[in-house]
Amino acid sequence: MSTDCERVREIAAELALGIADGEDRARALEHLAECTGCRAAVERLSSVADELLLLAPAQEPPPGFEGRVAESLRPAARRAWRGRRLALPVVAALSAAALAAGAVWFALGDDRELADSYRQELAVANGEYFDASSLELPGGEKVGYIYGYQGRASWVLALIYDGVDDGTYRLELVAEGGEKLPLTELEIAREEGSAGAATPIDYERLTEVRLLDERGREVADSELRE
Amino acid sequence: MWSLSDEALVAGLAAGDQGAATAFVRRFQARVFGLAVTMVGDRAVAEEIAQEAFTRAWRHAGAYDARRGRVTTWLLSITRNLAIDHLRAKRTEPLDPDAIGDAERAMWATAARSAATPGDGETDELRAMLGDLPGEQRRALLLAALFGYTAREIGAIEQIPLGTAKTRIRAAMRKLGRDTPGRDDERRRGGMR
Repeated sequence: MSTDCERVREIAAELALGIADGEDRARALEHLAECTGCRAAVERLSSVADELLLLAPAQEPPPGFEGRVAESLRPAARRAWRGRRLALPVVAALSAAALAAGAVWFALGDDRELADSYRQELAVANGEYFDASSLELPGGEKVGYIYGYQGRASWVLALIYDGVDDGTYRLELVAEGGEKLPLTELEIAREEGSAGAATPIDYERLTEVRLLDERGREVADSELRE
Repeated sequence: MWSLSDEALVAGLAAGDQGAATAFVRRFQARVFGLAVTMVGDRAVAEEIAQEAFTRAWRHAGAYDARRGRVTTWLLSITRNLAIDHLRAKRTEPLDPDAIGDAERAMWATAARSAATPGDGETDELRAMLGDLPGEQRRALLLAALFGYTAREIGAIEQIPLGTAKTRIRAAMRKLGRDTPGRDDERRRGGMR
Protein backbone atom coordinates (compact mmCIF):
# COMPACT_ATOMS: atom_id res chain seq x y z
CA MET A 1 0.00 0.00 0.00
CA SER A 2 1.44 3.37 -1.02
CA THR A 3 1.67 6.45 1.15
CA ASP A 4 -1.19 7.96 -0.84
CA CYS A 5 -3.28 4.85 -0.14
CA GLU A 6 -2.54 5.14 3.58
CA ARG A 7 -3.56 8.79 3.62
CA VAL A 8 -6.81 8.08 1.82
CA ARG A 9 -7.65 5.06 3.99
CA GLU A 10 -7.06 7.20 7.08
CA ILE A 11 -9.72 9.71 6.04
CA ALA A 12 -12.02 7.19 4.32
CA ALA A 13 -14.70 7.61 7.01
CA GLU A 14 -14.82 11.40 6.59
CA LEU A 15 -14.89 11.01 2.80
CA ALA A 16 -17.77 8.54 3.03
CA LEU A 17 -19.70 10.85 5.37
CA GLY A 18 -19.04 13.90 3.17
CA ILE A 19 -17.32 15.82 5.97
CA ALA A 20 -13.69 15.79 4.78
CA ASP A 21 -12.25 19.27 4.35
CA GLY A 22 -11.71 20.69 0.85
CA GLU A 23 -7.99 20.08 0.49
CA ASP A 24 -8.11 16.53 1.85
CA ARG A 25 -11.07 15.76 -0.35
CA ALA A 26 -9.46 17.14 -3.49
CA ARG A 27 -6.28 15.13 -2.93
CA ALA A 28 -8.25 12.00 -2.15
CA LEU A 29 -10.45 12.33 -5.24
CA GLU A 30 -7.34 12.56 -7.37
CA HIS A 31 -6.03 9.34 -5.84
CA LEU A 32 -9.39 7.55 -5.95
CA ALA A 33 -9.62 8.15 -9.68
CA GLU A 34 -6.62 5.87 -10.10
CA CYS A 35 -6.77 3.38 -7.21
CA THR A 36 -9.46 0.72 -7.34
CA GLY A 37 -8.55 -0.67 -3.91
CA CYS A 38 -9.06 2.64 -2.14
CA ARG A 39 -12.16 3.34 -4.20
CA ALA A 40 -13.70 0.05 -3.05
CA ALA A 41 -12.82 0.83 0.58
CA VAL A 42 -14.46 4.26 0.44
CA GLU A 43 -17.49 2.92 -1.43
CA ARG A 44 -18.02 0.30 1.24
CA LEU A 45 -18.03 2.94 3.97
CA SER A 46 -20.24 5.17 1.82
CA SER A 47 -22.84 2.43 1.73
CA VAL A 48 -22.72 2.32 5.54
CA ALA A 49 -23.19 6.11 5.68
CA ASP A 50 -26.13 5.84 3.30
CA GLU A 51 -27.79 3.14 5.36
CA LEU A 52 -27.57 5.29 8.49
CA LEU A 53 -30.08 7.62 6.85
CA LEU A 54 -32.67 4.86 7.08
CA LEU A 55 -32.65 5.33 10.86
CA ALA A 56 -34.56 8.59 10.63
CA PRO A 57 -38.18 7.77 11.46
CA ALA A 58 -40.61 8.07 8.55
CA GLN A 59 -43.21 10.83 8.93
CA GLU A 60 -46.20 11.62 6.74
CA PRO A 61 -45.81 15.00 5.04
CA PRO A 62 -48.59 17.63 5.19
CA PRO A 63 -51.79 16.95 3.21
CA GLY A 64 -51.47 17.77 -0.49
CA PHE A 65 -47.72 17.18 -0.60
CA GLU A 66 -47.94 14.16 -2.91
CA GLY A 67 -50.15 15.96 -5.42
CA ARG A 68 -48.01 19.10 -5.48
CA VAL A 69 -44.81 17.17 -6.00
CA ALA A 70 -46.25 14.81 -8.60
CA GLU A 71 -47.61 17.79 -10.51
CA SER A 72 -44.18 19.43 -10.57
CA LEU A 73 -42.68 16.26 -12.07
CA ARG A 74 -44.70 16.40 -15.27
CA PRO A 75 -42.83 15.56 -18.50
CA ALA A 76 -43.45 19.04 -19.95
CA ALA A 77 -41.46 20.55 -17.11
CA ARG A 78 -38.64 18.11 -17.70
CA ARG A 79 -38.54 18.88 -21.43
CA ALA A 80 -38.28 22.57 -20.65
CA TRP A 81 -35.53 21.89 -18.14
CA ARG A 82 -33.66 19.58 -20.52
CA GLY A 83 -34.08 22.02 -23.36
CA ARG A 84 -32.11 24.60 -21.46
CA ARG A 85 -29.33 22.26 -20.59
CA LEU A 86 -28.99 20.04 -23.63
CA ALA A 87 -28.53 22.90 -26.04
CA LEU A 88 -24.87 22.04 -25.66
CA PRO A 89 -23.89 18.71 -27.18
CA VAL A 90 -21.24 18.15 -24.55
CA VAL A 91 -23.51 18.29 -21.53
CA ALA A 92 -24.34 14.60 -21.79
CA ALA A 93 -20.70 13.75 -21.21
CA LEU A 94 -20.99 15.32 -17.74
CA SER A 95 -17.45 16.55 -18.12
CA ALA A 96 -15.99 19.53 -16.40
CA ALA A 97 -15.97 21.23 -19.77
CA ALA A 98 -19.68 20.67 -20.12
CA LEU A 99 -20.45 22.26 -16.78
CA ALA A 100 -18.38 25.32 -17.52
CA ALA A 101 -19.69 25.66 -21.05
CA GLY A 102 -23.24 25.23 -19.74
CA ALA A 103 -22.69 28.20 -17.48
CA VAL A 104 -21.58 30.25 -20.48
CA TRP A 105 -24.55 29.21 -22.56
CA PHE A 106 -26.95 30.08 -19.74
CA ALA A 107 -25.80 33.66 -20.05
CA LEU A 108 -27.78 33.96 -23.27
CA GLY A 109 -31.07 33.28 -21.51
CA ASP A 110 -33.25 35.23 -19.19
CA ASP A 111 -31.25 36.56 -16.26
CA ARG A 112 -33.55 35.34 -13.53
CA GLU A 113 -33.80 31.88 -15.04
CA LEU A 114 -30.05 31.89 -15.41
CA ALA A 115 -29.53 32.75 -11.76
CA ASP A 116 -31.94 30.05 -10.62
CA SER A 117 -30.49 27.36 -12.88
CA TYR A 118 -26.96 28.36 -11.98
CA ARG A 119 -27.70 28.10 -8.26
CA GLN A 120 -29.24 24.67 -8.77
CA GLU A 121 -26.26 23.41 -10.73
CA LEU A 122 -23.83 24.74 -8.17
CA ALA A 123 -25.79 23.24 -5.29
CA VAL A 124 -25.29 19.74 -6.71
CA ALA A 125 -21.73 19.64 -5.40
CA ASN A 126 -21.73 22.48 -2.88
CA GLY A 127 -20.26 24.78 -5.50
CA GLU A 128 -19.91 28.51 -5.03
CA TYR A 129 -19.13 29.73 -8.53
CA PHE A 130 -17.77 28.99 -11.98
CA ASP A 131 -15.12 31.13 -13.57
CA ALA A 132 -13.65 31.44 -17.07
CA SER A 133 -10.46 33.27 -18.12
CA SER A 134 -8.50 33.57 -21.35
CA LEU A 135 -5.26 31.69 -21.75
CA GLU A 136 -2.80 33.91 -23.61
CA LEU A 137 0.66 33.77 -25.16
CA PRO A 138 3.19 36.28 -23.78
CA GLY A 139 2.30 38.62 -26.67
CA GLY A 140 -1.37 38.64 -25.66
CA GLU A 141 -2.69 36.29 -28.35
CA LYS A 142 -5.53 34.15 -27.03
CA VAL A 143 -4.98 30.41 -27.42
CA GLY A 144 -7.65 28.96 -25.16
CA TYR A 145 -9.59 29.19 -21.94
CA ILE A 146 -9.24 28.22 -18.33
CA TYR A 147 -12.43 27.17 -16.57
CA GLY A 148 -12.49 27.06 -12.79
CA TYR A 149 -14.93 25.77 -10.24
CA GLN A 150 -14.97 26.75 -6.60
CA GLY A 151 -16.69 24.04 -4.57
CA ARG A 152 -16.21 21.41 -1.91
CA ALA A 153 -13.71 19.99 -4.38
CA SER A 154 -12.42 22.73 -6.69
CA TRP A 155 -11.19 22.00 -10.20
CA VAL A 156 -9.56 23.62 -13.19
CA LEU A 157 -10.00 22.71 -16.83
CA ALA A 158 -7.78 24.08 -19.61
CA LEU A 159 -8.99 24.14 -23.21
CA ILE A 160 -6.55 24.99 -26.01
CA TYR A 161 -8.02 25.68 -29.42
CA ASP A 162 -5.28 27.33 -31.46
CA GLY A 163 -1.77 28.72 -31.57
CA VAL A 164 0.19 26.18 -29.50
CA ASP A 165 2.47 23.60 -31.14
CA ASP A 166 1.60 19.92 -30.79
CA GLY A 167 3.28 18.15 -27.91
CA THR A 168 3.12 17.32 -24.23
CA TYR A 169 2.69 20.18 -21.78
CA ARG A 170 2.10 20.63 -18.06
CA LEU A 171 -0.43 22.81 -16.29
CA GLU A 172 0.83 24.62 -13.23
CA LEU A 173 -1.21 26.55 -10.68
CA VAL A 174 0.05 29.64 -8.89
CA ALA A 175 -1.46 30.25 -5.45
CA GLU A 176 -1.73 33.47 -3.47
CA GLY A 177 1.74 34.15 -2.17
CA GLY A 178 3.34 32.69 -5.29
CA GLU A 179 3.40 29.00 -4.36
CA LYS A 180 3.47 26.85 -7.50
CA LEU A 181 1.46 23.64 -7.64
CA PRO A 182 1.48 21.04 -10.42
CA LEU A 183 -1.95 20.17 -11.81
CA THR A 184 -1.78 17.70 -14.70
CA GLU A 185 -0.33 16.99 -18.14
CA LEU A 186 -1.94 18.23 -21.33
CA GLU A 187 -1.47 16.78 -24.81
CA ILE A 188 -1.92 19.02 -27.79
CA ALA A 189 -2.57 17.46 -31.20
CA ARG A 190 -3.45 19.49 -34.29
CA GLU A 191 -3.22 22.58 -32.07
CA GLU A 192 -6.07 21.40 -29.87
CA GLY A 193 -6.19 19.80 -26.46
CA SER A 194 -7.80 19.88 -23.05
CA ALA A 195 -7.06 18.61 -19.58
CA GLY A 196 -8.36 19.20 -16.10
CA ALA A 197 -8.13 17.95 -12.54
CA ALA A 198 -9.23 18.65 -9.00
CA THR A 199 -7.03 21.34 -7.47
CA PRO A 200 -5.10 20.64 -4.27
CA ILE A 201 -6.34 23.91 -2.74
CA ASP A 202 -9.52 25.94 -3.14
CA TYR A 203 -9.89 27.60 -6.52
CA GLU A 204 -10.45 30.98 -4.91
CA ARG A 205 -6.90 30.84 -3.52
CA LEU A 206 -5.40 30.53 -7.02
CA THR A 207 -4.24 33.56 -8.93
CA GLU A 208 -2.83 32.13 -12.14
CA VAL A 209 -2.72 29.03 -14.34
CA ARG A 210 0.38 28.48 -16.50
CA LEU A 211 0.96 26.17 -19.46
CA LEU A 212 4.55 24.90 -19.39
CA ASP A 213 6.48 22.97 -22.02
CA GLU A 214 8.46 19.84 -21.26
CA ARG A 215 11.43 21.89 -20.08
CA GLY A 216 9.29 23.88 -17.70
CA ARG A 217 9.25 27.08 -19.76
CA GLU A 218 6.06 29.11 -19.75
CA VAL A 219 4.19 28.92 -23.05
CA ALA A 220 0.93 30.60 -22.10
CA ASP A 221 -0.62 32.06 -19.00
CA SER A 222 -4.03 32.93 -17.57
CA GLU A 223 -4.57 35.53 -14.85
CA LEU A 224 -7.63 34.36 -12.95
CA ARG A 225 -10.62 36.59 -12.06
CA GLU A 226 -9.22 39.65 -13.80
CA MET B 1 -47.87 0.33 -10.89
CA TRP B 2 -48.00 0.13 -7.09
CA SER B 3 -46.41 -3.35 -7.04
CA LEU B 4 -43.44 -2.42 -9.23
CA SER B 5 -39.95 -2.63 -7.77
CA ASP B 6 -38.24 0.58 -6.67
CA GLU B 7 -35.86 0.29 -9.61
CA ALA B 8 -38.71 -0.08 -12.09
CA LEU B 9 -40.32 3.06 -10.69
CA VAL B 10 -37.10 4.99 -11.19
CA ALA B 11 -36.91 3.70 -14.76
CA GLY B 12 -40.48 4.93 -15.28
CA LEU B 13 -39.55 8.25 -13.74
CA ALA B 14 -36.61 8.58 -16.15
CA ALA B 15 -38.90 7.77 -19.08
CA GLY B 16 -41.34 10.55 -18.10
CA ASP B 17 -44.15 8.22 -17.02
CA GLN B 18 -46.50 10.32 -14.89
CA GLY B 19 -48.00 7.28 -13.17
CA ALA B 20 -44.55 6.14 -12.12
CA ALA B 21 -43.77 9.63 -10.81
CA THR B 22 -46.89 9.65 -8.64
CA ALA B 23 -46.21 6.13 -7.36
CA PHE B 24 -42.60 7.07 -6.66
CA VAL B 25 -43.60 10.08 -4.57
CA ARG B 26 -46.26 8.09 -2.71
CA ARG B 27 -43.86 5.29 -1.89
CA PHE B 28 -41.02 7.42 -0.57
CA GLN B 29 -42.57 10.65 0.69
CA ALA B 30 -42.77 9.60 4.35
CA ARG B 31 -39.12 8.52 4.39
CA VAL B 32 -37.88 11.62 2.60
CA PHE B 33 -39.96 14.01 4.68
CA GLY B 34 -39.09 12.13 7.88
CA LEU B 35 -35.36 12.46 7.23
CA ALA B 36 -35.70 16.13 6.35
CA VAL B 37 -37.68 16.88 9.53
CA THR B 38 -35.20 14.92 11.62
CA MET B 39 -32.31 16.91 10.20
CA VAL B 40 -33.70 20.45 10.06
CA GLY B 41 -36.35 20.24 12.79
CA ASP B 42 -38.82 22.52 10.99
CA ARG B 43 -41.73 21.00 9.06
CA ALA B 44 -42.13 23.88 6.60
CA VAL B 45 -38.43 23.86 5.67
CA ALA B 46 -38.48 20.06 5.60
CA GLU B 47 -41.35 20.14 3.11
CA GLU B 48 -39.36 22.38 0.77
CA ILE B 49 -36.33 20.13 1.09
CA ALA B 50 -38.40 17.01 0.45
CA GLN B 51 -39.98 18.54 -2.65
CA GLU B 52 -36.58 19.57 -3.97
CA ALA B 53 -35.24 16.06 -3.28
CA PHE B 54 -37.96 14.55 -5.47
CA THR B 55 -37.27 17.09 -8.19
CA ARG B 56 -33.56 16.25 -8.13
CA ALA B 57 -34.29 12.52 -8.22
CA TRP B 58 -36.62 13.06 -11.18
CA ARG B 59 -34.03 15.08 -13.07
CA HIS B 60 -31.28 12.58 -12.42
CA ALA B 61 -33.37 9.38 -12.62
CA GLY B 62 -31.67 8.46 -15.89
CA ALA B 63 -28.30 8.40 -14.16
CA TYR B 64 -29.44 6.14 -11.30
CA ASP B 65 -27.31 3.00 -11.17
CA ALA B 66 -28.74 0.12 -9.14
CA ARG B 67 -25.27 -1.38 -8.73
CA ARG B 68 -24.21 1.59 -6.63
CA GLY B 69 -27.02 1.49 -4.11
CA ARG B 70 -30.69 0.97 -3.44
CA VAL B 71 -33.25 3.50 -4.56
CA THR B 72 -34.13 4.35 -0.95
CA THR B 73 -30.58 5.18 0.05
CA TRP B 74 -29.98 7.07 -3.21
CA LEU B 75 -33.03 9.25 -2.60
CA LEU B 76 -32.22 9.74 1.08
CA SER B 77 -28.65 10.75 0.19
CA ILE B 78 -30.06 13.46 -2.06
CA THR B 79 -32.30 14.59 0.79
CA ARG B 80 -29.41 14.58 3.24
CA ASN B 81 -27.25 16.73 0.97
CA LEU B 82 -30.02 19.29 0.56
CA ALA B 83 -30.68 19.37 4.31
CA ILE B 84 -26.98 19.76 5.06
CA ASP B 85 -26.74 22.66 2.60
CA HIS B 86 -29.56 24.31 4.53
CA LEU B 87 -28.02 23.56 7.93
CA ARG B 88 -24.56 24.77 6.91
CA ALA B 89 -25.98 27.99 5.52
CA LYS B 90 -27.55 28.59 8.94
CA ARG B 91 -24.43 27.84 10.89
CA THR B 92 -23.21 31.40 11.22
CA GLU B 93 -23.81 31.51 14.95
CA PRO B 94 -21.56 29.78 17.46
CA LEU B 95 -22.46 26.19 18.17
CA ASP B 96 -24.50 25.47 21.28
CA PRO B 97 -23.05 22.12 22.37
CA ASP B 98 -25.89 21.33 24.79
CA ALA B 99 -28.69 21.98 22.29
CA ILE B 100 -26.99 19.95 19.57
CA GLY B 101 -26.13 17.12 21.94
CA ASP B 102 -29.78 17.00 23.03
CA ALA B 103 -30.96 16.88 19.40
CA GLU B 104 -28.64 13.99 18.65
CA ARG B 105 -29.72 12.04 21.73
CA ALA B 106 -33.39 12.61 20.89
CA MET B 107 -32.70 11.43 17.35
CA TRP B 108 -31.05 8.25 18.55
CA ALA B 109 -33.72 7.57 21.14
CA THR B 110 -36.41 7.89 18.46
CA ALA B 111 -34.52 5.69 16.03
CA ALA B 112 -33.75 3.11 18.70
CA ARG B 113 -37.35 2.55 19.68
CA SER B 114 -38.91 2.98 16.25
CA ALA B 115 -40.05 -0.38 14.96
CA ALA B 116 -43.64 0.25 13.99
CA THR B 117 -43.06 1.97 10.66
CA PRO B 118 -43.48 -0.29 7.60
CA GLY B 119 -40.12 -1.20 6.12
CA ASP B 120 -38.25 -0.49 9.34
CA GLY B 121 -37.21 -4.11 9.60
CA GLU B 122 -34.38 -3.37 7.17
CA THR B 123 -32.71 -1.15 9.76
CA ASP B 124 -32.90 -3.56 12.68
CA GLU B 125 -29.44 -5.00 12.10
CA LEU B 126 -27.85 -1.58 11.72
CA ARG B 127 -29.68 -0.22 14.75
CA ALA B 128 -28.44 -3.16 16.81
CA MET B 129 -24.86 -2.55 15.71
CA LEU B 130 -25.17 1.14 16.52
CA GLY B 131 -26.54 0.18 19.92
CA ASP B 132 -23.40 -1.86 20.55
CA LEU B 133 -21.10 1.10 19.89
CA PRO B 134 -19.77 3.10 22.84
CA GLY B 135 -22.09 6.07 23.34
CA GLU B 136 -19.48 8.68 22.44
CA GLN B 137 -18.68 6.95 19.14
CA ARG B 138 -22.35 6.62 18.23
CA ARG B 139 -22.94 10.28 19.03
CA ALA B 140 -20.02 11.42 16.89
CA LEU B 141 -21.15 9.23 14.01
CA LEU B 142 -24.75 10.42 14.06
CA LEU B 143 -23.70 14.05 14.31
CA ALA B 144 -21.63 13.55 11.16
CA ALA B 145 -24.01 11.30 9.23
CA LEU B 146 -27.32 12.94 10.04
CA PHE B 147 -26.39 16.53 10.75
CA GLY B 148 -23.33 16.96 8.52
CA TYR B 149 -21.02 18.15 11.29
CA THR B 150 -17.31 17.99 10.55
CA ALA B 151 -14.84 16.45 12.97
CA ARG B 152 -13.79 19.94 14.04
CA GLU B 153 -17.40 20.92 14.82
CA ILE B 154 -17.98 17.66 16.67
CA GLY B 155 -14.88 18.39 18.72
CA ALA B 156 -16.43 21.75 19.69
CA ILE B 157 -19.83 20.20 20.45
CA GLU B 158 -18.37 17.43 22.56
CA GLN B 159 -15.61 19.63 23.98
CA ILE B 160 -12.92 17.17 22.96
CA PRO B 161 -9.73 17.57 20.87
CA LEU B 162 -10.05 17.34 17.07
CA GLY B 163 -8.00 14.13 17.04
CA THR B 164 -10.35 12.47 19.49
CA ALA B 165 -13.38 13.46 17.41
CA LYS B 166 -11.78 11.94 14.31
CA THR B 167 -10.89 8.79 16.19
CA ARG B 168 -14.47 8.34 17.38
CA ILE B 169 -15.94 8.82 13.89
CA ARG B 170 -13.40 6.51 12.27
CA ALA B 171 -13.71 3.79 14.89
CA ALA B 172 -17.51 3.78 14.60
CA MET B 173 -17.43 3.62 10.81
CA ARG B 174 -14.79 0.90 10.87
CA LYS B 175 -16.95 -1.26 13.13
CA LEU B 176 -20.10 -0.77 11.10
CA GLY B 177 -18.23 -1.32 7.83
CA ARG B 178 -16.63 -4.49 9.11
CA ASP B 179 -19.72 -5.98 10.75
CA THR B 180 -22.19 -5.70 7.91
CA PRO B 181 -21.82 -8.92 5.89
CA GLY B 182 -24.38 -9.41 3.14
CA ARG B 183 -25.05 -5.71 2.73
CA ASP B 184 -23.96 -5.84 -0.90
CA ASP B 185 -26.23 -8.81 -1.59
CA GLU B 186 -29.14 -7.00 0.00
CA ARG B 187 -28.47 -3.95 -2.14
CA ARG B 188 -28.31 -5.94 -5.34
CA ARG B 189 -31.56 -7.71 -4.54
CA GLY B 190 -33.50 -4.45 -4.64
CA GLY B 191 -36.91 -3.87 -3.13
CA MET B 192 -39.88 -5.72 -4.63
CA ARG B 193 -43.07 -4.63 -2.92
